[in-house]
This record gives sequence, structure tokens and C-alpha cells, in this order.
Amino acid sequence: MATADAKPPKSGFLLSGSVLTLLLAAILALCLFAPTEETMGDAQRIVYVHVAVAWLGLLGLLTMAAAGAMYLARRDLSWDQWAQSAAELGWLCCGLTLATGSLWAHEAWGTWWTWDPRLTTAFILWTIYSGYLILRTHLEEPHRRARLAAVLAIVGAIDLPPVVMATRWFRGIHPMSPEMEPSMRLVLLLTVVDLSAVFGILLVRRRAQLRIESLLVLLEQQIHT
Amino acid sequence: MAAFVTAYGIVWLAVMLYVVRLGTRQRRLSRSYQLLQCRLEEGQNTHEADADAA
Repeated sequence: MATADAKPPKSGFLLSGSVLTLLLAAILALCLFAPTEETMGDAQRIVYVHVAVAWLGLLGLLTMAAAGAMYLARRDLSWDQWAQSAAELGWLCCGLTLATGSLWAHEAWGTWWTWDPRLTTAFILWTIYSGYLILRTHLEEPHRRARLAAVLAIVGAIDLPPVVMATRWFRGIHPMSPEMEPSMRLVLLLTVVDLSAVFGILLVRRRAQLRIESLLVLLEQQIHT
Repeated sequence: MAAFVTAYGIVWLAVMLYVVRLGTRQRRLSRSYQLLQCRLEEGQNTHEADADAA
């Protein structure tokens, strides 16, 4: 029955607890196990979280485009819900990439921002996310919104290769793949896995909320008719 | 050290704000669900009362 399906789960404490634990684990790992870099000192530790959120920003767009393509193929609104939750989280991660990158740039290059190819393509990625979310808020009809959003997500995915390959394709100041000690690489990997788990938990949770929201709208329509 | 602490503070704050926002939406959904359930039950009771009267 639809009413049973629409009942919201009561696991907010578990969600906050697991996210908090994973974030604490990441911070502890890079404070305790990552060695301090000689040239930049503690500021170099920004790299661990910067790389992790940058990866999640790209993963968000990939998920959004894949879910959009699935919606266009199947016309099933549940794919649109996956796309929306990925877009919200991707936008957040992309914004955090720009913020943490800016802090790192100020320490390493002495400037908060420069129009380096990697930075520029990352900024374009953030505007694609913003445009996608703005578009969604201006469309009422669910299938029309899902269709247009899916097209924008797929077109937006064109920005993925330039973001990933910017340091190889164009000449810029952003490091290509900085040399790291094995312990630093291990901490970086741990942080990426850890924050990916946070991303996964929040993605599933947000998608569940969107599903319940759409079921409640359906129920309300049933009551009115 | 200040840059490192600021960067992690921003990430921490952003994720926590997102979690809080999720929680707020969750509470709103629970309230909407309860309201709808009440309305459904009221409708059902009215329907049964009408049927009994008939």
C-alpha cells in the first residue's frame, strides 16, 4: 500500500552518527599518520581533503549524467531522484573543492585564485551544477523537469574530460600528480574512501527522501480526487 | 596551520549543515505523513458512517 511505502524512516541519529564517525576517522588519519611535508608544512594536509572532494565532485556529475540517461531510456522518475540527489551533493563537493583549493593556492602560490585551466574547468563544473539545480526549481511538471534536467546533465558531462585532463592538455600551474611518500598516498586513499562512504550514505538518504516526497504528493492527489 | 584548520572547518561545517538540512526535511516529511494519515482515517470514518446510515 502506498501509505506504508511513504512512511519516513526514523534513523536520523544513526545517519548523523555514521557521518560524524567517518569524518572524525578521516581527520584523525591525516593528523596522526600523514607526515608533515617539508616545504609547505601543515598546509599541505589540505591536499587530502581537496583531492577527495574533487573526486566526489566529478563522481556527482557522472552519477547525475548516468541517472539522467537512464531516465531518458526508461522514463522512470526514480532515476531522476538519483540524479537530483547526486547533483545536490556534487554541487556541495565542487564548491568545497574550489574553497579548499583556494586556501591551498594562497599558501602555495600566494594567490587565492588564478585562471589556470584546471581551476577554470572546475569553476565551469560548479556553474553547470548550479544551472542544473536552478533549472529544476523553475519547472513544476515532474516528467518535463526530469527530461530537461537529464539533457542538461548529459551535456554537462562534456566538461568531465577537460577537468580530469586539464593539467595534461593545457599548460598551467596546477600540479599534475605531485610526488608523495607511501604513507601520504595511503592517507590520501583512506580519506578518499572515507569521504566516498559519506557521499554514498548521504546520496542514498537524500534519494529516499525524494522518493517519499513524491509518494506523499501522489497520496495527496488521491485524497483530493 | 591556519589554512589547514580553515579548510577542514569549512568541509566539516558544510557536511554537518547538509546533514542538519536532511534531518529538518525528514521531520517535515514525518509531519506531512502523519497529517495525511489523519485525513485518510477521517475520510474512511466518514465513509463508514455514511454507509451505516444508508
